[in-house]
This record gives sequence, structure tokens and C-alpha cells, in this order.
Amino acid sequence: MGPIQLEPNKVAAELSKLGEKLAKGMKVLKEVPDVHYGASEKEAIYKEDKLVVYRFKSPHKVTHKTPLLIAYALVNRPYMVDLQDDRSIVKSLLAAGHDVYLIDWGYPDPSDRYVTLDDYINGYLRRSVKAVSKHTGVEKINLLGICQGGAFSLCYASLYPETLQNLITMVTPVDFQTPDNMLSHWTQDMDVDLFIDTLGNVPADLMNWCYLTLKPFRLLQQKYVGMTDILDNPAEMENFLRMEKWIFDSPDQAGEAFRQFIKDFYQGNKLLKGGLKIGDKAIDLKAIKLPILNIFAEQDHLVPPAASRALKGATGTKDYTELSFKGGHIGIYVSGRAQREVPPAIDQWLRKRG
Amino acid sequence: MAKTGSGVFKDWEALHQQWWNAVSDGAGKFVQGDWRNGAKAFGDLFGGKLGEGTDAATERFVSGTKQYLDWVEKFSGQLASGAQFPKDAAGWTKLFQGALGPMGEMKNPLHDLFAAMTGDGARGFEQFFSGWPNPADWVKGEVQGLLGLPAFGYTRETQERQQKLAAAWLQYQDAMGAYNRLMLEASQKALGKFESLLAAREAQGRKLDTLREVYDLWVDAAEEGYADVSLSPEFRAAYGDLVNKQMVVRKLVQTEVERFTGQFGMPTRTEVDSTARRMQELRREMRALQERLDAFEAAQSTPKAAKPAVAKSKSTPSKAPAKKAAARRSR
Repeated sequence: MGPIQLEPNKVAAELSKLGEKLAKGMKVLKEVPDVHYGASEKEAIYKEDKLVVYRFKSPHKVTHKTPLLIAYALVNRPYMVDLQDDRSIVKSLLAAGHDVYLIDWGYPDPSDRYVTLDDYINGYLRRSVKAVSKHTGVEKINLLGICQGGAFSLCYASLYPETLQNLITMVTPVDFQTPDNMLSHWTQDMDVDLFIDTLGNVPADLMNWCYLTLKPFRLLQQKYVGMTDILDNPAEMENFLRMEKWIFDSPDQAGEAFRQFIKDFYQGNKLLKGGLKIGDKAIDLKAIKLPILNIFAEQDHLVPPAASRALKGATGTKDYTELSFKGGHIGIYVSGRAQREVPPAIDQWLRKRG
Repeated sequence: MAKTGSGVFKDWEALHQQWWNAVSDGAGKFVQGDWRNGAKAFGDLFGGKLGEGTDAATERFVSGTKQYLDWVEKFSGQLASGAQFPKDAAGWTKLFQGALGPMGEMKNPLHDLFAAMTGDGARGFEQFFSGWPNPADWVKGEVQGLLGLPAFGYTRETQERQQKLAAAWLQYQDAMGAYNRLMLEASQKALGKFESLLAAREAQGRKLDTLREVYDLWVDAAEEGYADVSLSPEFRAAYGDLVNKQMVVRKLVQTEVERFTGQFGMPTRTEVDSTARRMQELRREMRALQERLDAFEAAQSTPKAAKPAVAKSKSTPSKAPAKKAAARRSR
């Protein structure tokens, strides 16, 4: 029979099971409540335009004197870091005694079409850090930048190092032109000026579509075939649907910020190569001398590990630590392994550095 | 181990109908209708009932799973109809290819897969024009012959714009053709990869004994084939060209829409953009002024004698604010 050995009885059992799961599926789906997210209670401490900086209220005693601000990417919603009770990096950090803050960039609308990277980094991010600093009464805070938010954090750290104690980057692209970076490859011949002049803000659906087509067979089909395995399990289905909600709950991208991000970061690779300016300020990674913890995911198809690893040696710090996580771009926040490995690693690293 | 000889086909025939009925019945129950038309059946019967997020996810599930069930039906059907069981990777690949359906070689293999995805941003560009006169119709009709001719008369400018749009549409179609050819190449590579993966497993003595395992291996192969093509210089050029040509068409259409809506006194995209630009400039100015004011007020409220002490304690938390903050933070 060669490499495939299908036996009638086994196939019959397999398909009968599939039929049973499908039959139960609709009943389960009807019973699954509309999914919600957020495991930790939080309060807004700063608002500006659509941006909100939240402080998570901890049921535990805050033992770390330096607060931790999380800057997520613009392209997805930040509640991924506090998705649900048993999948929350924030919850684990709170339990470890950290005072955790989060930037929610909001959903840009057509009135935000001219918001630039200068506005995001020299404006929103700088004032968010200031707000946390003011709220806690310390002059330096810890900054945790995730994905695109990590790239922003690197820019910020090079410009305003006096406001930061430590920098943590998670799944952060630094070298935007590694050979395995499909997303980057696709953008190289795009006329970004024409793209933004035409679209204005970049629609979220278009962004999602682009991400899905990075792995179309897995993300458009196999994932849903796999869903049949849990179709009769309400708890698993609720988790699945919550993830789906997050994946497709994406903000539009402010046109001008997107224009510069693609041109300077993806097409020009200027964050690593040099020559990047945010507003009128030149970015020099060598100016970052504070301790850096760089966490990346080994199976990351959006930010390949090599894209993150490029940070090593690119900055001026003498205290650089890498953490390699066995998982993907999403798993690094929500997998069971992530809950066990990532927050404790962050906590221990910070604990050593104050 | 499966029986050999003619007996095995009898088993397959006998069981096929039974198991297929089970799957069809289950799938039918899931969509409350004919699973082959699952997305529609689901939409008709359950639209809006399960909450926004759940509905969208379920619709994607129905669409994605339908393609799997299509394949299962065809693949297992081939076995049940007495097709000779292949003896090697090449034979199995051929049998597999026969069941691929839309993912076969005659058309863009990703077309149906992409069509399973719903959502505005995912729609084919053709749908962008739904509800609008299709520029392609102009090409098909009399205008086609006029594309290269100079426009004249009272409607000269309108003719020129239409010619430009029709020409842009044709260029976009060319770009789409080039992209589709690469997708076809990806599907052909996928079959080659599938055969290689099967052969590698055979060499290692590893067997696939469920339909799902066969399908999962196919997905691995398909992704590998797709990645090979989509990381190629040709794809980079074709992708860029497709996006750029589509933007040219969109922009020309937008211009027409602006002209049309402007005639009815409605605000245009250009006007909205202009307002947004001014608003953003005002926001920046306001923030800058606010920060200057904050700094000024802070300087005013700081006792002169305390100034050197503040400067000295720059690297350490300032105690008074920290105390206040700690009070705020305690729950």
C-alpha cells in the first residue's frame, strides 16, 4: 500500500467520529456565550485622543518599585496580554509583584489619517511614559514593547533613555529584511505612496487578509478543520472563539504612520542600518545603553527569529539578554508554555536589575 | 492491516456509504441544511443569532471545513469505487490529485481557498466594483476601440477619464494574470512536495493511516510549495505590481466617485482628508502648548530653594510624589 495505509474500518471510525462532532457542534455553538476578554481589572490613568493608558489593579502587593509599561503593536488589540484567566501574561506579572500598565492605542478612524510615527513615538508613547512616571512618582520606568510596539520602544529608548530603567522587547522586528521574512518580501516592490494616497487609512480587513495569506492553507482551512476536534467541547470552543475574536478584531492603520513604517522599516531597513528619523529626531540604536531583554519566538512566521535576534550587538548596551521561546507569534502570549516560561523569565530578569 | 486483493474493495464499498452518511448527516445537522451549501445555509438560518464574533468564526469554520469534506468525499469515494490502491508515493500523489478538485491544476489553486474567507477586506477586487458599472464592460464594448484614439468634443474630458480607467483596468487584469500564474506554480510545487514528503515517510517506515493525517501532510506540502513561490523574486515583483495596479484603478474610481458626489453637494474624500490634516495639526499644536503650560506651571509651583535638591535626586525616585502615588496605588 505504500506510504498510506488506510483501512476501511479505521476510516469508518474516523469519519463517524467527525460526523458525531459536527452533529453536536451547532448545539455547542449555540450554548457558547458571546466571548469576552480581560482577566484583570484595570483603570484608565491617562487619555489622549483615542489612546488610553491603563493600570492593572493588582490583588497582590506591589513589590517592584519600578512600574512596567506595555506598548503593544498598532495592528492588533492589546488585550492579548490579558486574554483570559488562564492565559494572561499580565496576571502572572501582577502575581509576581509588578505594577503593570498598558497602552491601548485605540481604533484610528479617518480623522486619524495624518497621525504619523512622530505622533505615535514622540507624542503618544512619550506622554504615556510620562503619565506612568507621574502616576507612580518615579523618574524611570520599565518598558515592554511587543512586536511593532517593540520597534517603537527601541526608537523611544534611543531618544529618551533618561526615562527608562530597563527595556524588554518581545517578538520585535529589528532586521526587517531577513530572507525568510515573507511580509517584508511582499512589501518591497509596493508603491507605498500610491497605496496610502489611495486608501488613506489601511483597512483592518486588508491587513488581516495579508496576514492570513502568509500561510493560507493553515490559516484559512486547516485551522477550521482542526476545530472539529473540539467542536463538542464548550470550554475549548470558547477559547477558540476568543482567539478568533482577537485575531479579527484589528484596528485600521493610520495612513501616514503606515506609510513611514513600510518605507523606513520594511523597505529601507533603517532601524538596523541607520538613517531612521522619527519626526526631526534621528534614531541611533547605539544610544540605547540600558539593560535589554529580547524575547523572540522560534516558530514566528510574522517576525522571524532572525529579525529579532539582530538586536544583539545593534545597541550600545552592555547588558543584553536573549530568551528564545519555543512557539509562534501568538503562542508566546497565550500558550500554556508561555504562561509557565515568559512572565517568570521577565520577572527574574527585572528582579536582578531593580 | 487492510485486506489485499478484491476483498478490500468490497469492504471499502460497503463501508463508504455508511461512513459517508454519518459525516453528511453530522455536517447537515451542523449547518441545518445541505452542508455542500453550508455557508449559505448557516447564514440563512443562524445569521445574527450567535453574536457577532461567534457568527463570523462559525461561518469561516463552515467554509473551511466544507473544502475538507469535499476532499474527503472525493478521496474516499475514489477508494470505494474500486480504484487500484497505489503502491508508492507517486501513485498516491496521483490519486490524491484526482480528489483535489478546485485545488487542481486548471485554475488558481488558492482561488477557492481565498473565496472561503469572508469579510470586506478579503473580497476579490471584482467585488469592489459590484454595484458599479464594471469598467471591463467598457472595454468589451465600443469604448475598447476608442482607447487609443484622441478624445474630442463636449465630453472630451469624460472620454479621457474613461479611457484612462479602462486602460488601468486592463493593466490590473494583466497583473492579476501574472499573479495567478505564480499561484498555479505554487500548486504544482505542492504536489511535488507532497510526493517527496510521502516518499520520505515511506523511506523512514512511517505510515499515514487516517484521512486526517493525509490531509495534514498535504497542508504541509501546500504551505511549502506556496512559501517557495511567494519568497521568490518573481512573486515579489508580481505582488507589488498587482497591488500597485489595483491602487491605480481604485484611485481613478475614487476620482469618478468624487466628481459624482460633488455634483450633488456631498462632502468628498478630498475634503474629509483636508479636515483630518488640519485637525491633526491642531492636535499637535495643542499638545505642545499643553506641555509648555504644564512645565511652566510646574516651575511656578516649585519652591525656589528646593530646585537644587530636585536636580540632585534625578536618578532616584522623588519621594514626595512616590508617597502620593503609593497611596493612590494601594487598593
